[in-house]
Amino acid sequence: MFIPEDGEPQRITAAQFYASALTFSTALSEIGIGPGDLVVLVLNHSRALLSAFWGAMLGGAIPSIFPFLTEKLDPDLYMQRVRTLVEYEGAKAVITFPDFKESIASLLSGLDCRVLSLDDIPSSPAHLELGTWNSELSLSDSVAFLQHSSGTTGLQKGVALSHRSVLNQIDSYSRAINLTDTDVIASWLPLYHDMGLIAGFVMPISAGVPLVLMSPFHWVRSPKILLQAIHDTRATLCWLPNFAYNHCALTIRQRDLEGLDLSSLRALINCSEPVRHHSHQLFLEKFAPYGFRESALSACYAMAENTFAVTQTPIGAPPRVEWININAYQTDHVAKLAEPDSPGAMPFVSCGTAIDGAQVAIVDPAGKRLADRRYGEIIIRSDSMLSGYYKRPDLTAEALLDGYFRTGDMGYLADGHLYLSGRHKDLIIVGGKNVYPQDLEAIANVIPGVYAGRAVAFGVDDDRLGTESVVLVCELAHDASPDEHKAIAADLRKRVVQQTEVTLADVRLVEKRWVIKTSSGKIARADNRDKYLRQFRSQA
Amino acid sequence: MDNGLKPIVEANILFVRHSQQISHVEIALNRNDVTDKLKDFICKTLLNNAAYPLAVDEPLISGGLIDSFSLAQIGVFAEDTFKVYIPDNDLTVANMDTLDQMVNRIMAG
Repeated sequence: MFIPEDGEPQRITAAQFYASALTFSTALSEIGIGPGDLVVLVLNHSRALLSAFWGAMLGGAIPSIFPFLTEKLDPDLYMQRVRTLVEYEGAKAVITFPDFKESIASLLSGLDCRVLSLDDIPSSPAHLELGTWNSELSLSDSVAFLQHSSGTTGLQKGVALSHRSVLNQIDSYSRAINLTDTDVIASWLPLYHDMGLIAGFVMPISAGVPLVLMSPFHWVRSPKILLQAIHDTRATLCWLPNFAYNHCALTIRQRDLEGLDLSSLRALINCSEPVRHHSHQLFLEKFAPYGFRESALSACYAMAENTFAVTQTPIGAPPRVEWININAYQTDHVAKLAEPDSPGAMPFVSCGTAIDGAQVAIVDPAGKRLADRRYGEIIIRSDSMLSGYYKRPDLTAEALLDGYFRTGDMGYLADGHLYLSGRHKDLIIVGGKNVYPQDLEAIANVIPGVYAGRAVAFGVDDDRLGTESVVLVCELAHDASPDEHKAIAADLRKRVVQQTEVTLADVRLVEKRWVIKTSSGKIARADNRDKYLRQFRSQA
Repeated sequence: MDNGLKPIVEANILFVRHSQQISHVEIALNRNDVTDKLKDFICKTLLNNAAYPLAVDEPLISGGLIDSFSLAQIGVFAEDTFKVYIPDNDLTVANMDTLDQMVNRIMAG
């Protein structure tokens, strides 16, 4: 079922979906796009996007969903990024809206890339035989699709996943969550993100499980639509990033809850950013009176580089919660159990145990394995891992360690359960979305008034919102009046949101020599974050 | 108020009290008061900076000061504080990008 932003829910049968996907497959085939060709989908959250993605795969091509253009992004810059991606990755076709066709075609002139608009797709497929699908593909190591993070840095890292990896993931993860054809999955998640693409699209379609999809933009404005859809369709499974638990609890109004029954949900699975005990409690407190069961609280650890899930908590029981002495954790790197109300005790929520076919280990900076309860970097190995970063063997080699993928996430293992506590790399995760600080710093470095090369971006915890907030600290190139301060900060915020969609929680313009650099001249983001928290936390 | 009910005014909210029970609620909204309270909420809660010199025509969402998620919080705040229900579909960047626009929407009831 597809719930459009305006209008009635549309029911789509499997046969209708397949027929629609075939129209895209046919159209691509007619312009000479075939196996191994990259097809970039510049569309919004729509039925056409679903069909275009599946249609490209049916013909053996490699679809990649480009993040949606929103009202906050600068459209010229957005188009420029489309060109960069097409050029960089050698895409052979772009599928887009009729309104975009001309400008994208002109932008891509000189490149060997065809542009198809939705108007170019026939209304019915040339053939409807199920035999059209090349079944050998499903067993092959050929690339099924690419996943990208957003931003300049993210676009350079296309995660290439083979058909074999994707199907292995679906097989293992379906078992981990006891997926059956009596389930119904509800999702508002964007499809250019692994959680939305796999849990909220590829897995249910492949496994024949009914799926209810709604627009992420609609959900942000009106989070009640998800709960209403769960009520209406008796949905049993749903995935959310941590901040969404807070967003629902904070902004769904009492008037919208009357008569709602959430008892059909058997698992509401938290992943894509560190799971917070407080967020689960907020959600439970608000929605238990409407049938939401504590046993439906659930968590998993997932990433695009593993197609999706690496671990999953047992279904039917809330995740384990350990109270850990945070001082011992930070200084001795050991997760020592503590009484919940003892000084320095912090709750850590389990992300569960490794799913079939996956292995998880914790290593120190030298790559040496660490024992249970020792804090270190999480590394993973599985039969659903990436084939590599598309056309970036250098980045692929950097990320692998003896066949294991170095996740850059930090945490510990206890009795097979994985507990996540943050990032080793400087990546910021806001509302489940990866934000690369270097992208934000690059924007700041060209703002008039900012001392180029002396800007630093980092994330700070925001308990109220259940996610990280992004802070940017920049040294001023010269003394500035309060009015100039405000103008520079406003310029910074505006350019950052237009280029990355990131809303900065705080912008600080500081005197020269404030920003800490390493001895090799690199920005020391963690040290700068600590300095910021010490100096500005009471004011922030 | 000539029906024997005794009106009391608290923070611009007019409660009409009858037999010790609130039987009816009316709201007398004052534009300056709405602006001040909303500005206070935005600066303290959403911007984490009570001293931020927010101008009434400053673009909040398109200017990167707050994000779209905050609009849903503003909807809840308007209902809790001013008893004005703003339907979710009205909570868009086009309708609610500045403090002035938000106040206009709240004053429209």
